[in-house]
Amino acid sequence: MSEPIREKNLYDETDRHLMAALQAVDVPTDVLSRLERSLQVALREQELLVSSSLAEQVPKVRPADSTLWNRRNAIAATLAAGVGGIVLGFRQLSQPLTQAQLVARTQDLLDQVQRTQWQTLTDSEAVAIKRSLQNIGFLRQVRSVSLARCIQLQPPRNIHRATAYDFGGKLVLLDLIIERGVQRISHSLSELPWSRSDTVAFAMSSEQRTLVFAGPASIRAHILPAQTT
Amino acid sequence: MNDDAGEGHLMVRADAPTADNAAIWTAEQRQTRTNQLLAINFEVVFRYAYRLTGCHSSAEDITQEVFLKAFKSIEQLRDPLAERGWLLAITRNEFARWCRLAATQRTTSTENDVADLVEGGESDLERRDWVQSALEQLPPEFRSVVLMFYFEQLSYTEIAESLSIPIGTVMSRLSRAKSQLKLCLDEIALPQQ
Repeated sequence: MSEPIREKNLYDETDRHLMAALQAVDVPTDVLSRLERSLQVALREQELLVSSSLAEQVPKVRPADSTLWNRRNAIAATLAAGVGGIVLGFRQLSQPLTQAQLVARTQDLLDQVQRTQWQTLTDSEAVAIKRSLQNIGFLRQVRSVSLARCIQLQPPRNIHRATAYDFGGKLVLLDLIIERGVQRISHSLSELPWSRSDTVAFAMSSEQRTLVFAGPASIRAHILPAQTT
Repeated sequence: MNDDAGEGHLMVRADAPTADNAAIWTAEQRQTRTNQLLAINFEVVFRYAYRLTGCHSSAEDITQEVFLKAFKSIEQLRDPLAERGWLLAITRNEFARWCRLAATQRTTSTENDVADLVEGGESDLERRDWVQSALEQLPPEFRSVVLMFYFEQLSYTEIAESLSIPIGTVMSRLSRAKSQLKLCLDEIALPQQ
């Protein structure tokens, strides 16, 4: 069976100008390396997920009496359950946390990150956490980052829980559950005092949940629209 | 060239499994083949995704998804000469999915690529990329036809079949879109060259 002869388009000079203009897109120099890395991470995760669900996998790696593991598993399980379950447990205080307060306290937590001991995650735990973050809409390129470790931080007042996740490449994600959220946190980089030329940080919030990224901007995220009442 | 799944034109790698024996593709073979596709085609896929979305970060996301899809269904690519068209078709589908997802989640892209922030100002970007501005002024159904004709270089018939519209509609959309783009070409681009 022979392949049908493909029609050839006839392009005039204007067409050729337009074609050239449409093809003229600058491709960032580091796109290929990021794509290769994403592919590797995705393949590894697919291998992890192929035989059984995460829920089935996690108990298999649990040491029977490990308090450390229990803490880590609690984080993963809580996140995997989604935001809804977390939000239910909040105490509502009369004084809302202002944006300035949140910025200052987040900075304290970032400083704390530097001083404390990280807990290494298994691949299954890392995948579970990343997928839970993706499922709630915060991470778009969740495949392209490796989540290696996490840590529970000592939260200041108004912050119910603070967890830091290390995605490598200087990228740290702070997951803050605040007791009474600001309506919306500006994500303007200039308003965040810890921004530097080689490091970008931004905050995003949805109801009481706030995520703060600190690290290279190679990871991007969606902002969930602030809930209006 | 045969349309059958004969071995002669199936894969670049001589040791790769054939389409008829897709089950024997190993993860390593898939990865190797996908990496080959990635190295050769990532730029054209990224450019196409950028023209569709008008946003570097979204283009990169879509490009990533395209190659993940390619990895999963690599056995469908029977003709190495068709790989560009195959990937661009996946790109188009991924863009459609991306649009649906954005509509349902009602999310806002942070658009916080460092590159986007530190590169030249808006006016410089607009001047340099006048065609993107012109594209975005076109209705989506016109934009699709333009990109399929100029970027994918598909024929009227192929566009009509792909979009399930009459060939006359393809021609009229293309004609009107081309008129608008030509105006931009004449008024914006050429005086600054």
